Amino acid sequence: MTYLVVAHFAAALVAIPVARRLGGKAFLLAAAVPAATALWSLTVLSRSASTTSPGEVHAWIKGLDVDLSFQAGGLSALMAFLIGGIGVLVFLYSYRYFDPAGPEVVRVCSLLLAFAGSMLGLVLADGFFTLFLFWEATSVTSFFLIGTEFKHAAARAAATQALLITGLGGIAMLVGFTIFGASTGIWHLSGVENAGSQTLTGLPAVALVLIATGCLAKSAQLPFGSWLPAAMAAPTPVSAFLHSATMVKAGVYLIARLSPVLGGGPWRALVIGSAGLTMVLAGWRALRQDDLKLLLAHSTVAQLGLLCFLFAMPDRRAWVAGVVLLLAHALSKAGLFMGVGIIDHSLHTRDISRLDRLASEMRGVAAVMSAGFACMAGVPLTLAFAGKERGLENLMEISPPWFYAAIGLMVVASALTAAYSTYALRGAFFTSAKGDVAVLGRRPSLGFVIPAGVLTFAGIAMALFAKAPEMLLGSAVKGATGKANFGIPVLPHVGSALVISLLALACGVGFGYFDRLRHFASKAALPFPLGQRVYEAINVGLIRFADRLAGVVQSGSLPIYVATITIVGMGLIAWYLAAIDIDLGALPLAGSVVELLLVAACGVLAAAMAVQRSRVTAVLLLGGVGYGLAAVFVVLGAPDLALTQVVIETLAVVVFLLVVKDQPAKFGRTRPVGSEVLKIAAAAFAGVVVFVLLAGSEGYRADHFVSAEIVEFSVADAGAQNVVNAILVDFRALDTMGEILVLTIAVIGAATLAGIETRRRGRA
Amino acid sequence: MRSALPYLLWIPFTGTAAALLAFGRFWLQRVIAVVALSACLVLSVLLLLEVRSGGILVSRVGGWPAGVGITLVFDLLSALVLTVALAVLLCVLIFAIVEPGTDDEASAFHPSYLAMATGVVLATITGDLFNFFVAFEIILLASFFLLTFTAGADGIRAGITYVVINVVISALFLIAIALAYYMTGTVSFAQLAGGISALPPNVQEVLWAFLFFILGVKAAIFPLFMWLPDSYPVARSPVTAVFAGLLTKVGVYGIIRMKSVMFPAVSAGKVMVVIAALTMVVGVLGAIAQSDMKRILSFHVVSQVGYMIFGVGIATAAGLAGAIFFMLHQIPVKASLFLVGGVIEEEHRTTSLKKLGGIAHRRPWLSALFILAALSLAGFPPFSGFAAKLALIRAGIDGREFAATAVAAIVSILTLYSMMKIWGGAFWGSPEHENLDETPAEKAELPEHDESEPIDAALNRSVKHLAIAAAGLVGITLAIALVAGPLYELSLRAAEQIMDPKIYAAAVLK
Repeated sequence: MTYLVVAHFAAALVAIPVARRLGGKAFLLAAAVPAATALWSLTVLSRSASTTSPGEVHAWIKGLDVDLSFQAGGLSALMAFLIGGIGVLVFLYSYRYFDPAGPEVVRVCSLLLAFAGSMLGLVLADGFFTLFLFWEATSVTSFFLIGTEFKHAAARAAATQALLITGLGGIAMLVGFTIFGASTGIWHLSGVENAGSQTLTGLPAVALVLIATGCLAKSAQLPFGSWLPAAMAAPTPVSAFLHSATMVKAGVYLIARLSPVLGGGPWRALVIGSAGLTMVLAGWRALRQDDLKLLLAHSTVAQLGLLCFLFAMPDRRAWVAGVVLLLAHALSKAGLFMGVGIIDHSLHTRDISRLDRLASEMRGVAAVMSAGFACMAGVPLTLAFAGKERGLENLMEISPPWFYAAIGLMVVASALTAAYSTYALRGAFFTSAKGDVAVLGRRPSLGFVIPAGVLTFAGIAMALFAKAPEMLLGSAVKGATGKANFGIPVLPHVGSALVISLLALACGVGFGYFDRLRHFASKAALPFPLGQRVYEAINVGLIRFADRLAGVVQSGSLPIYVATITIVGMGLIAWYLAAIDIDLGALPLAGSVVELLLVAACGVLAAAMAVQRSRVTAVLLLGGVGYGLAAVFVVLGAPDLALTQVVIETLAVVVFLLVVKDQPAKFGRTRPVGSEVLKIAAAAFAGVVVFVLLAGSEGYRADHFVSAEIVEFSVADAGAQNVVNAILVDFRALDTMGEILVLTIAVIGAATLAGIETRRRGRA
Repeated sequence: MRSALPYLLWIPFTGTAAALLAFGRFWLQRVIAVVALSACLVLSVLLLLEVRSGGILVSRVGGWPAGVGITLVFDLLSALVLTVALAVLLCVLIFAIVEPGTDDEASAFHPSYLAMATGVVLATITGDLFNFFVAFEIILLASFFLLTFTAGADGIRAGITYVVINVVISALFLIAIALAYYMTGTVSFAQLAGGISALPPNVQEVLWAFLFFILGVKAAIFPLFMWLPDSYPVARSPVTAVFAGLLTKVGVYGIIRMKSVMFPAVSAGKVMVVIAALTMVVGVLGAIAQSDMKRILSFHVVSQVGYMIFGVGIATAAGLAGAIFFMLHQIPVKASLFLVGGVIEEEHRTTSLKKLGGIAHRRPWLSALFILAALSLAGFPPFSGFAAKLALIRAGIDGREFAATAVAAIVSILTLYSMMKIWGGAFWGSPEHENLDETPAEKAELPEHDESEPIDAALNRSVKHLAIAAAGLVGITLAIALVAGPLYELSLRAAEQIMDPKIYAAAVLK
């Protein structure tokens, strides 16, 4: 399995040079890869009636329980078959669809292979994080595929939207997996299945809700549904493959895997509620579309809703119906998309109102599409009919209090499916155009139509020759329900379920057939905003909020930055300081009157400097503060420090004066008063906090200082009479070297800056 | 191998001196810089192998006992951070040499760059609080000049913001060190550990708050980060790359080191987690508001620092390991994104998303580099960011920090959002000016980019070379993903090692 998955990615890389040379023919070569998948999955399906094949595990990040592991159960193999089988047809179809010399061929061919590999990895994955890895990989490849026409803003926006929404679901799922694993110790799907049926509460139940959220986002259920219709900006082969048959089924697939074993909890209610609402609302939206492709997109959302709905039911018989419909939908919808692509190619429009009795001109396409719509709507003698029938029957057998609601929803959803199918088929193929008629360009070649036909007719064929679906679905059903024999009825079983479904079908066809009825239904306004508008509102709101926030935080004013940093930092310290008992009254304010006077003088000088408007005077006052400090050092008994301070201060004043010489004599007064107040407040606050901090530390003086040892060592071992020298050049020589480095860089840097500036002026 | 420890410092130090002596001879300077950093990197890897199973190398400078003299300490945390840092320093240096304009403006580039490397080495291996401060001074001054003399006129203004705030912080740092010395009688980390543990818990908290605030400014946490997005994007891309990749992480390293060695008893977790969450959110929202590639990435530096602080705040070994792993992933990935920005800047003379467009079509391989790094930053599997994000999410869940974990998860989507903004604006799409109605004269002024043939062969060549240099860094991030398993083990071991301050103290004081 690992090799098969890896082979896809290798093929995706190889496809780049190959497709550059061969152009469109590369699609034919590439079809061999999904063909291999399909064959492999058939071998698994044929033998796994007995047991599931052994898993493959590769270690990755052991400490985080991340590995790369695969296992092919029945449902996985079925999905693999769909990926492989539909994949082959999509590649054959792409060969006709794309301009063989077009620039997008290389990209699409390579990305489709990468996508097929990701999707295959997803359905074969056993470890949670393996599943997540490929889950995200499908999102990313889908992003690039939707953005194939990246010069169009709509395609870019759609690609981003899809990636963000599925990404959001993905991250919820990642957190869900982590919580689930961390609280149960289970990190593999097989582990979940082996643990048997269980009802989870507490953290694992939360985890399941998060995982289910990811599934709903991926399968475009409410409230995440908006990305899928937008994703129709992708080329049709991509839509057929990713956005109808495979990728959007990833969420459905995971729900189907978890549902049989993880009972109870809010996650079922979430999925059933969301999916139930989606299948009705999206179906109703499909009824309003004039664009065939968009109609199919909304219909896909609705059908995915039905699948999630069935799989999330607590009864395993509903699960069986779900898996039948899963197969039926994948086949018919991919075929329908291909059909729309052919129409688009030949007439350069997908607008139903511009299509004029196509049935007479494109008989093959009309037949293919009719079969597809019939299969989707669940006309008797199709696979979908059998599946729905079974679903309804099962729902009628379970009887929790809400089952009438569930049946009602399903009936409405089926009626809507029938309605928009009828409408689309009739509008495109059997009625005359309402607007300006689209002219038929080149007739589609047979090779173009065949892949679509294979898919749509398969839905009928499978209902008639029940062996095929039994072989495909048998092991999946056995895995979920324990029973291999489930029987797909070719002929409807007479009962109340049949009556209901026929009634729904008739109602739907009626609504779809009579334009006035359809208009009446579709014009009704929805009382609350849906998908797309919510997404856009969040998008705009987020940007606006971010803008405003950035404007406030990032004012660009250095004084405000310094003030904020000081106030915040000192505030943090003050907060902790408040917890300590400090009796400030007991502290001596100063050692002597002289000391007090000197400090007061420093303070006055500093304050005078701050309000001074003449630059020269300000510099001199600053020097005064420095000399005052030197005097304080003398009083405190540190004459060497005082000497250093005097030297530095003198130098600094001289240099400052030299700089100020070339500048205007006075500071400009441009700043608003508020900023001055802020600065004074910040400085005062910092002063007070640091004072209290230092004064308060009085009681926590250390008993022993290394200075004692330093004095001892300097005479005895370092051989120095001057302790300060010993510290500078011996004990802490590394500090001194570091400071030398600082000074050196300062000199070079300043000189270089001055040089650059001079050169720049010279040039100007 | 113990005796080799000081050479980690002497190699870049002597390199700086040699580069100064070679003033004016660009090629000689380049050779010196590359040789010095390569040698240092090799040594660092060798020492990493030495300590990988939990040993600690200690070197007493001048032979004086800890406290009296300065001690160099090399444990697993130092080893991991330093090795990744040096690898990035080397890659960016090569990029800067290849890029016309970064290092040939001034002979002071290489000495400053090597001095900065010296500072980074010193900061990661010193076992002394005051010496740590000196390391920060070296880094500060070297980076200030690198920022200003590669950035042109804007650089001076941005440099002022950068240097003023950092100097204010340096002054406060000194006060904090004095306070710590007053209360414990020493500035050696190992002795400080003992001295601080003897203080009442309240007093410990005050000291911790002071140091956390100072290092928080260096690391650019909320709300102390404003200097960063205003100064980083102004410099030339290689300089910004190494700043963004490394410098804030030195602050984070300081927070991790001091919290674990000096303040193991202070329970500051809640405060740190709240600050971390705010840092993540405000940083990423700031990024969303920008429309310039380098500015977006600069805000992400802030946002990602939040993740690391989050890991430290969880206060478990797993959380700390997550923070360490996140840092190891973040250093190369952030630098590589800036280097890709640098390649774009070299070709288009701008990183404004409004003026860029269609790069995916013209430079597919460069675009691939960007998307790999961008997805890694957003935490997509199988890239290094995924493992880093997962490590933190896991630690957050195990540590019952659900709210902050949720924030971390949502911020990663917002990160993706802003990465998509860059992708959609610069790599897809077309420059905005093409859509506007402009007079032909105005159009002629804009550089014409024909889709099929680049205008200038020399430019084309240098862009290709730059892309290769950037690819080296992206390669490092991919390699981190590949060895994520063992690397996470090492991070966990490093975390466990520093979680027990006795191990550190015993190794230094014995």
